[in-house]
Amino acid sequence: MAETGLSEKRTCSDQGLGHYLPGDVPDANKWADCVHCGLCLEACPTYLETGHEHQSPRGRVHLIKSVAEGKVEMDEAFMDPVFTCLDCRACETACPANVQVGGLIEEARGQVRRAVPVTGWRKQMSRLFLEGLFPHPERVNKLGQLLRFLKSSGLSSFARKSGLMKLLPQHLNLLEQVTPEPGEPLRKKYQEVIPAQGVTRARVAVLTGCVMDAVFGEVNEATVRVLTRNGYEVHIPQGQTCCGALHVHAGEREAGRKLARRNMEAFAEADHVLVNAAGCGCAMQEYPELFKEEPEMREQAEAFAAKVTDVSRFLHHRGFEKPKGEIRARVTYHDACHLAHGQGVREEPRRLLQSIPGVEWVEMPEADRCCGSAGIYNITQPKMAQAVLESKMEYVPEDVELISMGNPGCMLQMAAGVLQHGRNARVVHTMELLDRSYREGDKKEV
Amino acid sequence: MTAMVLDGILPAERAVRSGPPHPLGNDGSWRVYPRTEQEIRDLLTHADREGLQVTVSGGGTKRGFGGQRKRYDLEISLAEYKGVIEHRAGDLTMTVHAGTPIRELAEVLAAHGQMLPADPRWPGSATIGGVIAANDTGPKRLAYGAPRDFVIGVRAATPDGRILRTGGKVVKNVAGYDMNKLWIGSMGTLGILLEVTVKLRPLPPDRGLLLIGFPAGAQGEIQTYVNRLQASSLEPVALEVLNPSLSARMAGWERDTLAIAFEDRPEAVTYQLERAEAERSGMTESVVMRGREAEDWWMRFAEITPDATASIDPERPLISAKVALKNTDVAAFVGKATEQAVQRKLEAFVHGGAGHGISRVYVRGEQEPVLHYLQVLRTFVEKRRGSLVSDQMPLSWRKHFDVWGYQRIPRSLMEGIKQSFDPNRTLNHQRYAGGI
Amino acid sequence: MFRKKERHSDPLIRKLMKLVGKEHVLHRQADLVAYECDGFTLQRGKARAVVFPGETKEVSAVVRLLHRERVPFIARGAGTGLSGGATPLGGEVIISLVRMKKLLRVDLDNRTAVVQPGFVNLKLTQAISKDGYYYAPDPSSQYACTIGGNVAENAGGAHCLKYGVTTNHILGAEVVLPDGEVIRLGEDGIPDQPGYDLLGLITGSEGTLGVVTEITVRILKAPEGKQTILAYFDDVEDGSRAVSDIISAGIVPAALEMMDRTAIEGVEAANFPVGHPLDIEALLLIEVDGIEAGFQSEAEDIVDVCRKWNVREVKVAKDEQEAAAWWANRKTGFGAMGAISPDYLVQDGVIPRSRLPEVLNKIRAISQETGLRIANIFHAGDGNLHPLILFDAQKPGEKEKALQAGSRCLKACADAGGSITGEHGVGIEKKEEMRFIFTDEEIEAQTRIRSVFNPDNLLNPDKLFPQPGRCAEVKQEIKEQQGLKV
Repeated sequence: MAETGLSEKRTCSDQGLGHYLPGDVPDANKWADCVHCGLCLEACPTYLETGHEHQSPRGRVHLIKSVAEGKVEMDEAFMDPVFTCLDCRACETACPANVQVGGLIEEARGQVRRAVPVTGWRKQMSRLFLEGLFPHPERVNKLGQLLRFLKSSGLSSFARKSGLMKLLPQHLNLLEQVTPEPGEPLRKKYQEVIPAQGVTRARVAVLTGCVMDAVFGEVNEATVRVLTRNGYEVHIPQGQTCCGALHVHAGEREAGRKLARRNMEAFAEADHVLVNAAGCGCAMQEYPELFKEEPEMREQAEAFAAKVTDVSRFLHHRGFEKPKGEIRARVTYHDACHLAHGQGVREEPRRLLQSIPGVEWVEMPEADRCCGSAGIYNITQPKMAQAVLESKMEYVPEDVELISMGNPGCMLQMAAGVLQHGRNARVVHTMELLDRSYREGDKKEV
Repeated sequence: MTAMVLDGILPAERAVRSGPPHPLGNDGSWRVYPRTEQEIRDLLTHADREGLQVTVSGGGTKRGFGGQRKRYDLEISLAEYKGVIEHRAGDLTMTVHAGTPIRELAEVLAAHGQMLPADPRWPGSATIGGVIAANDTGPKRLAYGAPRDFVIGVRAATPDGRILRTGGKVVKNVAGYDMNKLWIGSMGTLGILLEVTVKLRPLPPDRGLLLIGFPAGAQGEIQTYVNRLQASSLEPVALEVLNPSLSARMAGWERDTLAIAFEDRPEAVTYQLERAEAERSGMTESVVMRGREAEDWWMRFAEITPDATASIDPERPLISAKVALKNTDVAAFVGKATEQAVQRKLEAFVHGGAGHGISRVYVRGEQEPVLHYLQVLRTFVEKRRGSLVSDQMPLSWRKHFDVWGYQRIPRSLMEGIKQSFDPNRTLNHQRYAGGI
Repeated sequence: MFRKKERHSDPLIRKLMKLVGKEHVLHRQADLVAYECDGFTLQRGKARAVVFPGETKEVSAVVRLLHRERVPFIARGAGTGLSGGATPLGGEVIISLVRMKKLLRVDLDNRTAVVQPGFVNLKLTQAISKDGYYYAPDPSSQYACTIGGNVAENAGGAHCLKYGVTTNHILGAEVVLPDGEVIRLGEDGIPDQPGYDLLGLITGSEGTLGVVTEITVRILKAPEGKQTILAYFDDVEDGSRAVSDIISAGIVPAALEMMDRTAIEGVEAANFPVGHPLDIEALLLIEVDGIEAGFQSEAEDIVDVCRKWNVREVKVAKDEQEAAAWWANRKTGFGAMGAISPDYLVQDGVIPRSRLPEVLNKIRAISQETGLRIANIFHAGDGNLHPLILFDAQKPGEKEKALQAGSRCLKACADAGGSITGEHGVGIEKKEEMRFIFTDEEIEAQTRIRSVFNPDNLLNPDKLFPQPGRCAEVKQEIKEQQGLKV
């Protein structure tokens, strides 16, 4: 603690700290808040699975600090716990001292990515997803089609028998099964501005997202309908791109910065940037973290971050039209980590859903426990993701018909869980249910 | 040992040469009445050095509890080492000399609206030191706990001349090992308790007692009722099952009886008595007592039988045993002990705490049937992983009955602990479990 | 997950792996860093390995091996202890019991539950609350700490005032002795097993007498109701006197907690603020429970007592949610200090309740003399003080100053007739302070007992007791050196 001379280096990262490379060094102020009390342990899905303290928030924070102190090298033993972190932020909710574990982890990953290049199939995967896929919505769309083709052609059983399937993690195969038919991406279907129904209350911009738009186009459409119905003029800036959350989670901070810059530009005109994907919203609110060494950009990013809101929070805070169409179903809600832990959005979506006539509410125990999706974690860490999902499924009430949530990654992962466990529940986005109720209500009136 | 030697330690009038050995054993050729710590320490170190065997007594109520030796050389009586040292009413703690009788303590405390959270037997003669050393508890253990719960500090003398303090004077303390626990129930085999610091409680503003008489043999019904009561939010301080012969004396009816006590603010006592009454079935009858009357009932209960200082009928001595079981086995045990006594035409008082697991049997009879009776009960109890310890029995009988029963604790640990306090085995040798 | 080739030239690691499986042994340098310390961070050491047995048999086998090879070892749960009891001093093998985290049995009629040592404290109450029962000892770390660790430390908590600490709730245990032998104490939770009260002795022995592998605990029926009261005082002394008066009024609250101004600043700046005014000098958080008819009038009496002592505001929680928020604010109080200070040292002195005002004044004086802020969060009802000494380890000499201030706080408690620890244990931290309350002879009586169980001192060595036979100056020097080494 004492003799590393941290104090003079706390704000200065143009040189390496301990074994860290110069530039974008994990923030000493973040770990200084950690008093090692351990209250985070039981909140951490990977600690719960392994029981290993280096796979716990306080263990990871301690490890990140130890590299700065020069006690530990940035080697594989360091990378392992840093990359098994789901970045779910449950520890931040549990932490009495507000230690920003997620931010630290992302910074540490950035360091690792610069110090130790990825190799093997993980490299291929991460390339495929982060460089080849997510920044290009049309390609995300194609992946879904490819997977479906594999399945329907019978090639997947051939692949399985021949051992070819081992190249693709089993989990991915499962995800393929639950990936819905792709609809038409929002950005292609609508023009840039969609007028409000009735009197315009305000203008809002919507992030369409990459996965959301390609795989859950329906959700985006529902979101637009819900917003316009509530009197908002919806803008869909064409210049927008992937939010970069997955890149930042993976330690590709430079790529993340690039995407952030593009989005900040694309949404420059907007007063409100509404997001229906928890991970994206959270990442965009954290853009300032990416620019801590560029004061000017940081300021811009802070101004931008202040405009970003989850669509459920936005609707709830500003008042929303009460839905009238009945949805007779037992409904439960899963807190996406980046909504509950990342943005503190817990009550708002519940209130929206509970306002729907006919909904029989079933609260899910441990609703804010990670499902294991965590961006592309379920692809890069399939084993742990599956274990976390197994634990999550124990808490999903047996007899619900709809499981609502506010994040596409969770939707895929939870759908995989439902399929594996042979449950009857359907996974839906909060906006879909709200939209359905509005539309049902309209039908009745007609 | 001579009067002269003892005279050097304490005045001659406080060293008494004993008469013939007490039939219950556990007395000494000499009985001494020290009044200071120094005297106790000197007596003990002298004995240890000279290889004399020492036993300790307080009010003499546990004289028939354990022990194989015909007689010790020296009996150190703490009957004159008594009195309150410090009562910190605001802290709810008190430090007293070990020889202080329970009732004396209670009277001092009652004046301050406080009490010792314990209801041991024979409070008039039993001393706080004896109650702790023998781990004696009463029916209200359910709510107030046992000596291990209220003793927070001890000052004791060991045979090698050390004065050891364990624990402290504060109610919460985890500094070092919880050495207090070693004094409790260890029958004075490790040292002589000098001073004891105890945790107190406020006297309850009101008391209520509900006696419910069940038809004979209705143990199952009692258990069902107890389970229902325990599953409710009522907070009984005692849930004692009495067998018919004991009930005849205590409740005036010859039935199995459940004595339920509540101690709380008056409105809470009333409410609980009503709720408990409402839960009982039509097959039963009941009596309710309040305040002083309830308290007096428990006072009588603490003296069901005369204590060990009473004269002993050599043919049909009073034998008592303490039984520990799971709570849910208590009612069944009371039934079993009663039925076995009836079969053997033995007169037996049996009661047990359905909420704390301790039962007691008092039986009078001739040696063979009584020992056989106890053996049958012990088999019943040990099958249920419990224990039966006879805490009063003439010395001659103890040669034929292992009062402590089956030992589960490894001997090496028991011996090791004894060794580290009393390597020469000066104190209460062979009085404790495992022949310690 | 990034493992390539495992290098373990240490034959002991191979043997451990053979006993419990390869994946249940940690030995890489980076993997061990997390085990350098527990919740007490001022001293750290490197373990030789961490081993995760899955059942008693494995614990026994591991212990036998270590005993045979004369390797020191430490049992560890969640590592939330605050005195360094689970911290290696160098070269120990840590036996982590977190894989043994099952709730084995619940027997509602007998009010007992059987748990494995790695079972988390709060989970027990969560598991039985649907039937209306709970487990009483509630250390503030109960979200994470294990019941095995609670037994080792004889953990306390806010609700110990009325219901007692861990030792009052432990009815039985399965224990692996330091040579690997397995013994059972208190079969089925049946009380008063004949023989010395080893269960009572092992509880609170800070893992130096045996490794507990199964625990039978007493569970309690949830009270019919409860009421939580919050009182704000402009004067600490008024608050302290209110505490004494509540107790003297014959009320035994379920909990009676106090926080001073600095502590309030901390909790309000941290993650669970509830809007306490920042300009009050003390707050009392009081809970009464039991039979509705009884505690209602108790609550009224408490409010009256607070008024008598010039309370600025006193309020009763309007619902469970509000009470829960007040409690979360209180229970995360230690960790919350991270929000107003880079480092803190928590102390754990106990004093007779009636000496509260006097000792608080002494602590204030220590704060002034050392120039370090000291926050007080404590269990006022049972006189268990937690002075939190705030410091910045980056500033040269501050840590040493904090250690000294902590020691002086404990001296003040000892001088008032109290103790140096009420619930956190002695561990590494307060070894020397044991001399404030025990003579050499009394300490030796305890180490003799340790020798009965742990003759080679392999199990959690050099904890709990001061180094024997050294004069005070030397001890101070050692302490300073240890401080600097960290």
